[in-house]
Amino acid sequence: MEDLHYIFAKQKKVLFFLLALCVLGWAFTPYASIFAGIGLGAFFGTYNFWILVRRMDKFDHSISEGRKASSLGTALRFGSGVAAVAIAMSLPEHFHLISTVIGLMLPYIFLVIERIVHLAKQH
Amino acid sequence: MTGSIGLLAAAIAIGLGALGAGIGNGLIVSKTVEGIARQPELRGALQTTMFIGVALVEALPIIGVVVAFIVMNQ
Repeated sequence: MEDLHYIFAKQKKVLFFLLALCVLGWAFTPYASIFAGIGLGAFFGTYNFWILVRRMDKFDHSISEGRKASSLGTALRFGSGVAAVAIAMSLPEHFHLISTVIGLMLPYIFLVIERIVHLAKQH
Repeated sequence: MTGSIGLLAAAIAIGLGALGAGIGNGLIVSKTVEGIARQPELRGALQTTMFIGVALVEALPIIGVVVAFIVMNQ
């Protein structure tokens, strides 16, 4: 499963870069809550990917050992999305709600872009 | 505070989102297992594709759950 972990390693790099940008935006621009929301959402979005990678590894082991396949942790991913929004809603002066939701979806957009770039490099 | 109709709407939204995610994931995983059974040497590539498929299929239900939660608490 090297390719899967390679994709997740790239996601983590992009997340750290994005978090660094969000910290700079939070510190030096008048839109602190928007950058904080994007950072919070992106963090939880990458956590969702981490859960999926771990579950995929368990699935891989259970298939290779011929055991019943474990679940993919969908409820946990739904719950982490709700947790991000719950934090944003309980601290509205610090985290902008819409930017939190956008941040939650950013890792998925990065995934699609990374795969397109990977395919373009192969061909 | 949301009324009973609002709670019902949020519950239906989350339920339908979970249904969509469940059906989508089930189809993806079943095809992946079938592909692995046919060609075990392609396990790595098939599971990477499964990972991407599951991630993208669950993106919209997650948005649905989040929007339902927001609407329920406004």
